[in-house]
Formats: sequence, C-alpha cells, structure tokens
Amino acid sequence: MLVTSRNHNSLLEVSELTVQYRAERRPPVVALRWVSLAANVGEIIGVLGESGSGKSTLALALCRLLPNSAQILGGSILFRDLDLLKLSEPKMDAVRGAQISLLGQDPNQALNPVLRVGEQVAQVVRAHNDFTAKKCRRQAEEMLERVGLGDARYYDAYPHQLSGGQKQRVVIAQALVCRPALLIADEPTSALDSITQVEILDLLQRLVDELGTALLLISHDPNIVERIAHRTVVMYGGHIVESGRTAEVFANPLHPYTVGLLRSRPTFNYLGKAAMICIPGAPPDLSLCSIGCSFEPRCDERMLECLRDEPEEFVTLEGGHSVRCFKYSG
Amino acid sequence: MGYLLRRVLHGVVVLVAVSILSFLLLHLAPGDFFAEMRLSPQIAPGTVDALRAQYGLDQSLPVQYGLWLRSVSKGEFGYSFAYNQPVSALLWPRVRNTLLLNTVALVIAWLLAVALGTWAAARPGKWEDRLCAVASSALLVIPDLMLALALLMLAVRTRWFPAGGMVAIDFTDLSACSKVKDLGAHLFLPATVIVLGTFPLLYRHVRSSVSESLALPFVQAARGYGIRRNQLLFRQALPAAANPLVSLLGLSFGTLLSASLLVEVVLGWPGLGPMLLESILARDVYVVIAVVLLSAALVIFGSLFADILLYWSDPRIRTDAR
Amino acid sequence: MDEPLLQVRDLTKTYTQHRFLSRKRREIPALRGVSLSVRRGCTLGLVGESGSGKSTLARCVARLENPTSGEIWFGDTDLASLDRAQLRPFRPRIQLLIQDSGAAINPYFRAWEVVAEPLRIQQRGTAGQAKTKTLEIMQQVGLPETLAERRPHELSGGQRQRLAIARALVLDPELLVLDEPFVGLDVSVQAQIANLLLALQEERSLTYLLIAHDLALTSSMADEIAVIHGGIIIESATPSEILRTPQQPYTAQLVAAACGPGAGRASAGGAL
Repeated sequence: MLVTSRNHNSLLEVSELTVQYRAERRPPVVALRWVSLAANVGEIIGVLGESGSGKSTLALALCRLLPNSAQILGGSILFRDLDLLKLSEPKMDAVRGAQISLLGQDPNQALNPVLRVGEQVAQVVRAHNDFTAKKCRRQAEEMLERVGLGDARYYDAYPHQLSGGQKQRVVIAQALVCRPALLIADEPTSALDSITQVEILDLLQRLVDELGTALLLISHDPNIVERIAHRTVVMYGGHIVESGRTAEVFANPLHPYTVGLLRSRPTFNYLGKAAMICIPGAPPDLSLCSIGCSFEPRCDERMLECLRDEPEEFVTLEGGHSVRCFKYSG
Repeated sequence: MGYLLRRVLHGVVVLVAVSILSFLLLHLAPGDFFAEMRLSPQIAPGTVDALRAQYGLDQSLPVQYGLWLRSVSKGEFGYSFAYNQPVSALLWPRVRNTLLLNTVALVIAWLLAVALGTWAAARPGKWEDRLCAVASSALLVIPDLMLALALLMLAVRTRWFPAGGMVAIDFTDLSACSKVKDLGAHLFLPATVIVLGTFPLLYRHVRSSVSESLALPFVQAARGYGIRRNQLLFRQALPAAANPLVSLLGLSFGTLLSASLLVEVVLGWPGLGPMLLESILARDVYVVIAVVLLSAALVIFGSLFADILLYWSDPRIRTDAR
Repeated sequence: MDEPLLQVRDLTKTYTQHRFLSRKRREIPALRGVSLSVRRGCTLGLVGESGSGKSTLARCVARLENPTSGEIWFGDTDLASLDRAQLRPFRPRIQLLIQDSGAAINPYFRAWEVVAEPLRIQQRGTAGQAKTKTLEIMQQVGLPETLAERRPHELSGGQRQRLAIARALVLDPELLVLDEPFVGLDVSVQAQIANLLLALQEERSLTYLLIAHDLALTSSMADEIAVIHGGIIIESATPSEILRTPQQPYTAQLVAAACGPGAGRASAGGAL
C-alpha cells in the first residue's frame, strides 16, 4: 500500500479502489484495479498514464462523477476524514468545486459558448456561497486577475473570442475560485501548443503554491509531470505500477513500462531523421481477464512468473520509491 | 443595416410574387362570384354582365391586377363582393380576433413546452419522461378536428363554457372585470384545442434540444464545480439549447394567423377562419388574396424575427466565423 | 532527385470577416507572404503556434482553399492558378491529413470503407480490386484485417490515425501534407506513428510537409525545419542548426519550451 502514515497533513487517502464499466453485449471493463494513493496538503502529485491506464477514471471517481455505467466494486476514498463514497449526492455537490475541483481536458469544450466567461466563473461562486451578485462578481474578477486575465474586458468576453490558452485560464479560474483543498487536473495542457503548455503549467504551479492547494496532475506526457510534480505515480492497465519522488522516478525508472515510456519521449535529434524508440504493441484490453502481468506482452524483461501471476505487492526501495514488478521482488 | 434592408426588400418581392400567383390561381378556377347568380332564372343575364363590368371582372387579368394594386396603394386591398366593403375594413376586426386567440394559445403552448420539455430532459427514462412522451405522441396523432368537436360536445353537455362566439350578447354592458372573464370563458375552448395541437411538436423539440445540451462537456464540467441541478438546467443547459428553439419560435410566429383556421370554423370564433372559408367558396377573390398575403407577410416577418432573435441570443453568430 | 517537388512563393491568404447588421469589415491576414520548398522524398517540418497560419498554409497547399495571391509550384505546375476542373488530376497526387482524425473520419463507415472511399470517388478499379488494395494498405500501416469491419469509434486514437494515413495513401500520392498528426496521441503511440511515417516515406519515396507545434518530435522526422510566426516564415534551417543556434527570439522560445526540465535529454539518434 502506498499510503503515507496518517498525519495532520494528510489530505486524501485512496485505498484499493476498484471501478468497473458495464458494456452492452461485451464483458465489463475493469478500469481501476486496487488503486491506492495518498496526497498531503499542498503537494503536487503527477499521475502518469496513457489512454486505457485508468487515469481519467481515477479523476472522475475522486469527484464521484462517474457515468451511470460505472460501478465501484470496492475500496474507499477518504478526504479529510470524509468517506467520499458514502456521501449523499447533495453533500457531494457541496464538496465538488469548494473542496475538490476537477479541471477538464479540452478547454474548447469546457466552457458554455453562449455565456460570458466572467459569468461562468461567478456561477461557481454562487453555487457554493450565499453572496450577493456583486460580491460573486468581485470574487470572480479577482480570480480572473490571478490567472492573468485581469483586463476588465475579459469578464464580458465570450469563449469563442478567446484563444485556447486563455480559455484554459478561465477554466482554471473556475476550478480554483472557491479555494478548494484539492485540484484534480486531467490533461490540462494536451490541447494546447508547446509555449502555451509551459505557461499554463507554470501558472498552475504558482497558483497552487499561493493558495495552498494540493494538485493531482494527470497526464500522458512525462515532460508535463516532470516539470512541476513533487511525486509521481505511474499507471498501466488500471494498476499503479510505480511511484516515488519525481526526480527519483525520472532519473532511475524501475518498472519496464516506465523505462520504455521515458525512452519514447521525443528528444532533440541533431543527427537527422531517425526512428524513435517506442514500446511495441498496444495497451491491454481491460475487458479481458488476463492471467499474469498486464504489461507482460510488451515487456522485454519478462520472466516466467510474469506469465503466471500478477505482481501483487509493492516493493519499496530507498527514498520511498515503490514498484510493482516481479523483477524486484524476491 | 444593409442586411435588414435587403431582407425587407426580399420580403416585399416575395409578397408581390405571392400576390401574382394567388391572383392567377384564383382566376384559373372556373367561375367567379357572380356565377351562382347566373344560374338563377330570376336575374337577367344582362344584370349579371353589368354587375361584372361594374366590378371590373370583364377586364383582362393584368388590368384587374393593376386595378387591385391601385386599391392596395389606397389601403383598401380590393373590394369584397359579398359584403360590399373594402377588404381592409372587413378584415381588420377579424384579424384582431384571430391574433388574440393565437397569441394566447401559442404563448401558453410555448411556456408549457419549455417547462415540461426541460423538466423531462433532466429525467431521461424516468416515468415523468415516458408519460410526457406518450401524451405528446397521443396528441400528435389525434386530429385537431376531433379535439375541437370533442371539446364542443363537452361545452354543450356541461354548459361550463359557452359553445361558440367570442363575447356574450351583453358584452358592452359588462364591467371591465366581467368583460375579461367573459372573453376568457369564450377563449378557453378554442385556445385549448390549439394548445393541444401545437404543444406536442414543440415539447419534443425542446426536450431533444435540452437533452443534447445536457450531454455537452461544459455541462459536465459545471457539475464538476458543484453547480446544482436547477441552476445547471436553466442557467447553463437551456441557454445553450436555445439556438434551434429560437428558429422554431420564428416559425411559430409565422403561424399566428393560420394556426387557428380550423378551430375557428368549428367552434365559431369570429376570426379569419370562417371568413376565409366563406370567401373561398363564394369566390370573393380579393378577400382571399388579402388573407393569403397577410399570412405570407407574417411568415416572412417571423423568419426575420427569428434571425434577429438568434443574433441577439447567440454570441457566436454575432462575430461570423471565418 | 534533388529538384523541389513543392515550391511555395510569396503565398498570402487574407480572410474578411463581416459583421452582421453592420457595414464594418475586418481583414485578417492569415498568411503574409510565405515561401518554402520541399525536395522530393524529403520532409519539411513547419513549426508554429495556433494562429500562426500553419493550418491555413496546409489547406492552401492542398488547394482546399484559394490563396489570395502567390504561387504554389507542384513539379512544374502552379496550382494556385488552376481552377477546380484543372485541379482534379492533381488531387490524387497531393493528400492532406487533417488534425483531428476523429472528426475527419465518417463515423458511419466501417474501417475498410473509409480507406476505400477515395478509390470509389476517383473511380479507380472495380469494387473487388478496391477492397483488396484497401486491405493491403491497412496491413502496411499496421491495421490487421480483424479491424477492417470495425467502426471508427471502436478504434483507439492511434488506430484511427493509422486509418487516416491509410486513406491518404490509397491513391498513391506523391506529397502528403500532415497537419498536426500527433496531437491527442499518447507519447508511446506518437513514437509508433512517427516511425510508421518514416518507414512509409522510405518505401514509397513520399514527400512530407509536416506541420506541428512540437519541435522535439519534428526534429526526428524532418530534413529541414521552418518556423512560422504571425503568417510568415521567420527562420528556416536544418533541425540541428535550429536546436543549437536559434536565430530568432521566437525560435529560441520554442526551443526552450520543447526542452522542458530534462535539458540533459538531448541526445544523438534518440537512444538514451
């Protein structure tokens, strides 16, 4: 289990969370498999995983926004001593936005096209507070200023008048305006171009620092995670396969998947066109019950045990760097 | 402004075309207003011919059209043979009554459709949604005529509502409050039929539009910020769903004269309906042309109104995309 | 084979925006005199941000839009001066891969029908021949026959992108314009697609105009990189020169952004 010992700084504790999606005419897909995760106040945790790893399911599960086809088969989510899975819907509504906020993927679609952006930020304020309209507006304006859209004209702008980066800033403002303790950002920069990605990441880092918010940064791009996360968690096939301090995980990746993933990052190539290193094959089909490790078909360090069993236990090496792989156990 | 002017000009051209077409079609039909008279043995053929000459019916079509245009410029819109009056004077009170009936009915139908449609879209698959779906299907299937007759029978049997007409005989003697009550009582049945007839289609459009809008990512995102269901429905989903509904509103506007035609005839509401029917059967051409033109004008204006409303309500249209 | 297959000279494209109900008209210059050239069998990487005009350039080169002025030389013909009928014989020779593969594929078609559609439109061969060729090409891009009957939404992002590539190749084009082919793909899938494109270029002597915003990825795929900013090309050089000695401040910004915190990752040939 990955849980750091319960201390007064502990904000979020996820234990053995398992989530399944029902599908018509097909076997159900187990998207999250016994996932355990912990976050402290003000910490930035990077969740590194590709499509099919379960990272988006994790984000939705933490906010209890899973679609109707999803079933939570087991586990618990403790947020500041509240068991989120047991809360009633109205109480969860109060938690969402005010204590835990979810930052969506595509800023182009995350904003209502017929409402002014300032109004959309103010609506979040109004949903959680009993302020007057003026006070809501003022709080929204203050937040827009913090994200770099301080010019008065931005409040009355419509989403289609803003660039992708500006829209993402508005979405960040919406997510943080009620000062939540935990912000979950699911691929906040994947729809943006490179210079804007860096700007938005730095903005996020600055804001969570200023506001003391913990950040769960979910991304498929290792560079994003490497840039601002304190700790990194790597997901594959619904499992957490590796975790530790970011610098440690990136300098010394243990799990074969992490190794392959970090190697397939595009690097500066000074010698002309060349094929890139990549992990062969494709992510596993999570509707199938596989025997053995889910990464085994693509692993170039597979051993006999990998075919027979799924590695259950985490092996913790020095410095809190844990990995779930037969290569390191025994 | 150029755009508006162009649309208005375009509308005028359409109206002229409609008038010419109606003129032609009506005159193509055999016979004219005095055809019946000709059959009566008591009237000399010479009299009929003289009458026809008096009304210009023996002239060629283009000349007749020209004469009609002159009458239009004087504001008379032609002459009614049956009532011996300029058409405009004849039609105006009728138009007023029809507009009253239709406006009340359409406003109620729209309010009901928006309220129920939004409510049902928020509860897909649940019993409220299914009930509304069944009810709207049933109403769509039942012909307006049957509804009108059923309600008429209800009025006659139970005497809860007056069985026809628009006002009581002693209307002018009533106090203002009683006048309104009386009008309301007379209005109730025909308005109900129109509401029941137009509501189903509107309801379905609203429901599907709001339902689509609720599935959009920004509504999910708003839920993620803890915005509660009612606010979500009315402050986020409905404005985003308004686009197709506004166009529909414009079309509805265009039916402000025509929606009640059948109902007026059956339930005896003194509007354009009975007059139009009478005039068609009697071949009182200029009345028919005037009514057709009025309807056409409303449709044109309705679509222009919808476009303006759309421009006002949807910010994306205000700045043209590339 | 050193003569340029594609040569763009001083291309401009201006959009006019009309405001509803008003006489005001705004001119938006998307391209302000772009010139570039690509040799046969080589790849030119065009790097820039959204709004820089790169997508507009892609669409103009593929002649989906009419440029306002300038020349687009394909071999020895100026495409910019041709009208629709005259362009028709050139269409199969230049194919465009647009950005969002999900949106670019008809969701009602099955996978093999998507690839067969250009053959059908260009009326090449019988239905049977078309299906054979389709399956052959799908095999070449790494889509097994078992996926042929699937619908696009049942495929993963990487598989959809392969499908789009297959569709672009089915008419045996000479020039492929790739508009942001890697956006939205996972990092490991990006590498797979990049390798696929490189292999196909070798096999079929394809010429690529690769449009992207990721300088690092482009450096592994391009023989030459041109940086576009505000509608003009501000710098053009080999990847090595651009990465080591960027001349323009904007280019330096791009290099810094692509670098990320792992500055030591820069390596030769991509091996760690």
